[in-house]
Amino acid sequence: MRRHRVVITGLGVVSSIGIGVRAFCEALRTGKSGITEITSFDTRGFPFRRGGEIRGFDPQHWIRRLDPTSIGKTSQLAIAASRLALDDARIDPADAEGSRCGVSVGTTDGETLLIERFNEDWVRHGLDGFRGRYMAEAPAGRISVNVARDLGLEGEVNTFATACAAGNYAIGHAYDLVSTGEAPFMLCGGADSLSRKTFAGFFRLNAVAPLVCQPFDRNRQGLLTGEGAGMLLLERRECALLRRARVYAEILGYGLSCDGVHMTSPDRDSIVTAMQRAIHQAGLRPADVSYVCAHGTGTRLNDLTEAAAIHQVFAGSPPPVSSVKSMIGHTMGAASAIAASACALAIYEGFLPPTINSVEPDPECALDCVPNRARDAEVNVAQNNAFAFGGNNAILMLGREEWAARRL
Amino acid sequence: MGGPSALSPPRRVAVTGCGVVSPIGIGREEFARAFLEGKAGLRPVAGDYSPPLPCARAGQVVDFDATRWLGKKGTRFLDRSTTLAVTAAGLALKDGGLAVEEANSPRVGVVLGTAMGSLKSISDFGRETLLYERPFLVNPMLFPNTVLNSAAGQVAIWLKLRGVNTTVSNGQLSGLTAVSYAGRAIALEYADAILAGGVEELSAQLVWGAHHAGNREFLESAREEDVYPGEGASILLLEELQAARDRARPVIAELLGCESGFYGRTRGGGVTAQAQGLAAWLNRLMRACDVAPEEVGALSASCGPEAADSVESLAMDIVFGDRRPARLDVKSLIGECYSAAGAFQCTALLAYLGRPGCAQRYGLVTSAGKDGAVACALFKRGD
Repeated sequence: MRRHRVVITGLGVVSSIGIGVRAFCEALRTGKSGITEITSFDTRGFPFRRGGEIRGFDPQHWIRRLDPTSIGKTSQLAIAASRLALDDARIDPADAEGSRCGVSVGTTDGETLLIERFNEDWVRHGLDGFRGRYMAEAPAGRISVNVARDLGLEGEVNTFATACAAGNYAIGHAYDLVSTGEAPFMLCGGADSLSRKTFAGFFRLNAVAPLVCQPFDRNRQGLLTGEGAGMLLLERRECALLRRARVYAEILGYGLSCDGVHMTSPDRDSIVTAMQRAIHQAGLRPADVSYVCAHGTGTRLNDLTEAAAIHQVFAGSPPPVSSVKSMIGHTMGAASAIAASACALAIYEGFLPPTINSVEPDPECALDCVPNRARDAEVNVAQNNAFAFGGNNAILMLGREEWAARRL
Repeated sequence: MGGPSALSPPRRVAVTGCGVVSPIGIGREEFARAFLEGKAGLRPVAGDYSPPLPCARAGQVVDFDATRWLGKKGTRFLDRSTTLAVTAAGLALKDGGLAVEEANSPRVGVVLGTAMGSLKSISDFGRETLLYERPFLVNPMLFPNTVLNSAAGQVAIWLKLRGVNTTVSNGQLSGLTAVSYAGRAIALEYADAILAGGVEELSAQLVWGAHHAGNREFLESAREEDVYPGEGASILLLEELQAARDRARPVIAELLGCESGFYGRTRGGGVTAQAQGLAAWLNRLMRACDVAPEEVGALSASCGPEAADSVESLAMDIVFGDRRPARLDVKSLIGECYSAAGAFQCTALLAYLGRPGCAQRYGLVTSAGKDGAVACALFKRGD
């Protein structure tokens, strides 16, 4: 089936290393860390207390039509990132209003802070002993709905709850809608808030690091949880060219697969399938890939499984592979959307984001993880990896628009 | 899928099986018979709840014993929404006679709709972190249940499905948008067969949560005083049409197309805008599929028929005028099944179109959320 070509013309990032694409890009180039002591929930009783928390975020600044106090924090982050993406794409919000621009957001935990508030009220007052109007905002689908409400959009609204691969799922879906002609524009990406529940769960799985996240390093001690939102504006290539928009990158395709084996342990073969599907759908060969933005959580299990899958797909000579999670922690449903933004910047600006905190690269992984310092490089094709609980794998392929155009 | 696109025609999508676990019966045939007879699934709440649930009646699946369907092994840590989903998915595969083997497994997937996951699993787990002096002493075996894609992940594990696996979370629209997403995935060749639908688990947390929310945004209903919560799972087996014919399976229906939009940006007067939006999509959908309004035999709606001012009633006025198709109302029998509602509406429509002597071939399913979102799907009865 013939499809329209789809390009990224706007990036909106709200992260612990910067709000807005310029700050985020600068942070990637300098290898900034966003990891601090967590303050947004009570960490008493936990021996480790660090994470990628966003500081200095003022929802009032971003949210225009809705009352910021009436919606959950994850919605707030997603709205801010959406406005940033629209602004970055130089689209007047007044023009977007009433349009069939759709919204597609991935999340792991949705409005998890509202559910935690519900739990606290339940413990204190019993299920019937409090006023909990806020529960109206608790369903995860509110995130996309609130983006559409605040921006006044009328297109298809979807929230993907495919855990830590959700950002790539949401971008892939948006790519489908734009490439088939069903939507003229899509705002897509992912959002999640730091939560006590997720922190406790990963801690109990012995997956949380005490201080830093060190993907592909021999000294790794685990992941750090984080929060944030990444939203991308997708449109048809011909529309972008017509309105002389800046094109960061082209979406070349994506691939999904499911392990069907275990809820929490990744499966190499299934990850290989997803990568091969993505590369195939994009009309590429593995050798075309210039850079892999890894899932790279910093747990031993992920590192070894991901590295083995990469070696298998790239027949022993993989391109450079780095992990944005070394800087911002694991931002759950936002992770692959923020990473996709990093890929778009890598392509447009011509550099490889580093894996920071690299001390001693793990020989078992045998990857060039772009240790500690960003590297100038021509990136024609970037592959963005995302794996999740439930065995959900989603791989997104992005390409330099001029390169992709030459190929045809 | 099937949208107003001028591109080459996508692959066609057939429904070849249905799996249902509902308050009025388990399995496609039992559900269809009960639905067509108008069997009541709403009963006084069974089970001891403290405090008692804020509703006198509910659509509970009272006789559901997960171990009877799934065996005892491996079910200990599964929550109710997962066992409901795995059971319904297994029934759908069996109903469609699709054998999943090593060779086709990577091309068979699962798409489930869930608005909140298992709110019981999520909040029980979160509550434990508040009750223990050392907050991390939660049971790690229960952690995966707190992620919203838990049910879809478990369906894949139990039925060995390694293809597209997606969980959509769109409130009231979850079940119908899952079917829509799955249809598109087959049309775009991402998968050859997909189990698609929704699941909802009735729990004290969910019912009280909805009560606190004022039944506005979740557990929605046309008439707030009549919100009776329901539960269950409804899952369709969707397949590429030619593949279904090649293996000589009866085609229950063809999924001709799905559409959705959002009309929640305006405050006040929202119902009219939403109804006009839904009507526009219904018209576009029928036109794109070359189906005239008078050919549509039934519309399976998300709100009850008594609500004359509901989004769907107004949209039906616009689209059909006084030549309205039959309006199917499964909710009045099984309760508000929220995440699963849209998928139950699909199964109810297929039961209606498939009843002996039914002259009509086309039917619509619509879903309208209190948030302003609308979705619709058009089915054609199989041969």
